[in-house]
Amino acid sequence: MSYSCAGTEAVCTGQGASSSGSTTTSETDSSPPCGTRACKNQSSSSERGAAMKVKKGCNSTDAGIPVTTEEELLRKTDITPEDVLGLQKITENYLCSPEENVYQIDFTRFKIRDMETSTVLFEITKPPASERTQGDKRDYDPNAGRFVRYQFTPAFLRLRQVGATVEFTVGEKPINNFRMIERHYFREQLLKSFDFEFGFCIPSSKNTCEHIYEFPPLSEEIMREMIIHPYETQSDSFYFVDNKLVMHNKADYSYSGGP
Amino acid sequence: TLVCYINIFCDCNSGAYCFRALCCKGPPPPRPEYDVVCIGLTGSGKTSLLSRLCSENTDNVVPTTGFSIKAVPFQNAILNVKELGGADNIKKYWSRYYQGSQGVIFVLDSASSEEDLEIARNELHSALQHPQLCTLPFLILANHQDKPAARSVQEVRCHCLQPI
Repeated sequence: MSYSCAGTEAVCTGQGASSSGSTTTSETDSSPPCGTRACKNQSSSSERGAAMKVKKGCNSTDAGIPVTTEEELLRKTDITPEDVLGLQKITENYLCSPEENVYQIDFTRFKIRDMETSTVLFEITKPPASERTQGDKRDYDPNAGRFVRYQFTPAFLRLRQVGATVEFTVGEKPINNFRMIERHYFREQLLKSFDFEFGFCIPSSKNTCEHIYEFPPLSEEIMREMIIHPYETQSDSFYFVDNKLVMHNKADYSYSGGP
Repeated sequence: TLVCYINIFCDCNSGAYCFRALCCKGPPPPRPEYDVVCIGLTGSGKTSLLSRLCSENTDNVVPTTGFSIKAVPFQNAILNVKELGGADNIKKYWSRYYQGSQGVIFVLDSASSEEDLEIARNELHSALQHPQLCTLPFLILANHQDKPAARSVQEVRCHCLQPI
């Protein structure tokens, strides 16, 4: 299998655990649910911040979360996790500006490995800030650091379990509760939604997290469509500190094996 | 021989799983996962140990300056290990990460100085008594046994488990 990445910056992506199958609108979940991580319902200790936990199957209809639209969220001053869990498709715009990342969270490395063979499939590291060239100000795209285009071969869709590692640094302010929600879509269909709570982050720390993603069972038909329509598989990654959106990254994916 | 035949054609990752589904149409049943916290003083070898268990290169290991969460696969289970840096400015935050743990791995450098071993002993006892860890199983690893100055496992055990 060969993989390449057209992006130059690391972004947290990967494919999350499938929902329990009853409410996704398509045939993608015709097989039994993956049944991996149980919902860890830890009683959160308010004075210490939430414990790390993974929520399975965060599909809006599953959890009784109301449907939301990008338009209504863009009108809000603060966007919450529940707000994005109600989104039914990929957003056209970013839901926050780069300046809203007041905690200076910076993703510095991303790696995926096949859990069945331990083979590293893909790895990308961001050079330290001092080494990054600034380029011509006129050409500066403020969104360049928040979008990655992935190019995979069709074999990638046959993987069952991957370990996705993300490395990030944090500024001087401690973070009480850091949470990521990532949603993957093929065209207008939600493939999977993934919700991971990191909890507390030490000030000025560099942290690594690897999570195992179970690929949802995809029908041959869906896989074929994903392969012949590159970049129509897309993801939104939303990052929250204390339940307020501070970062929004995007990615799109090709499985046709070429640019 | 019928069993062998199934193993050859099955792409499940373990022979044991194949017996449960003769035609191997479905994925193997998922392995149970357990959440474990890994602590110990800086330099005790936590990151290197976990990297080795994940078949990763340990040449470029640097001190962990925060948390490092790794999914460590074993044949029958996956351990989601939350490893925490052991430097002074990091270890003061260890208890922020205890909630939700099902076990503790405490790593010691068996060849450390008497002073460091005493610091480690104190940290171990704090962890053993912490309300969020005190009922959990602890695995205490006397690491660096390959160093000439390494104390034996017996010596480490006797020293560290003495009550404070």
